[in-house]
Amino acid sequence: MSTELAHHQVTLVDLVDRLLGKGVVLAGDITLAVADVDLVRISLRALIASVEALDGAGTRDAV
Amino acid sequence: MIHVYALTEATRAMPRLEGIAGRPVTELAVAPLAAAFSTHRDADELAVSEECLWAHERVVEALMAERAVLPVRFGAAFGDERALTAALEPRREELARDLERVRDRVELGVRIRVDAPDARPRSGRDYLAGRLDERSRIDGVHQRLAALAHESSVTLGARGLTASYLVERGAVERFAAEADRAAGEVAGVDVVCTGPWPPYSFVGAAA
Repeated sequence: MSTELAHHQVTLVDLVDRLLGKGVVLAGDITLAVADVDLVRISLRALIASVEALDGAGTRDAV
Repeated sequence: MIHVYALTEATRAMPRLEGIAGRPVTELAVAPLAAAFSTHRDADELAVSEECLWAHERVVEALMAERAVLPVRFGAAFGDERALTAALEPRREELARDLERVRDRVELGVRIRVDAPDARPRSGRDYLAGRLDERSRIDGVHQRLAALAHESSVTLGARGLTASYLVERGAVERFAAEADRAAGEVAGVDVVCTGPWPPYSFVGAAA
């Protein structure tokens, strides 16, 4: 995995963690694409596995 | 159908922003708050994808550049402005307080990982001592970073910790430098920082 791609994935994992799992919860009258949210979570798990491997390899990124 | 990006203050006009599927972002005032939203033809435009999530994030970040924001979790939509107003009305005081709490502060994401030990532990006791040592090194880094933050939110994992820190906007560089220093000074620890993010991890619990 190239470092650049790896950093992109770290950021994507952080993005998905926040947008789908955190933030103000507004109880909308329509809940969108629940199946899609689940799909993203599943692919996220695969992604996290690769990020953990990456972290073990010793990457560092500045803010 | 309405998609909400963030809640912000109703004090000044919203900048011109392009949201998901290129739809313009407009605002709905529910004083003292304003909700930033875009209007969509149907749910297909809002299906979760990487592109869609980044579009949501871009809008929240653009708003965050010049005002206090409460980022809204992705995934709920409203039929129309009236439904959105009805959802916000009863919570505006609580949300306005949250908005003040995060004003001029941003969130930084940090992953702290320890390297796997070089040698296999010789005994169970050896193994436990190793794990304790790992935990104390991770905690040491976390404490150094928490000292620069107003609040922190931490999840412990098998070989490390994933944390978010709520940091003064002007202290981001100092925080990043401290994360770098800590990673250099604490043996066998790796620190990955991302951000600054809108304060997703520090705003309202479930409705």
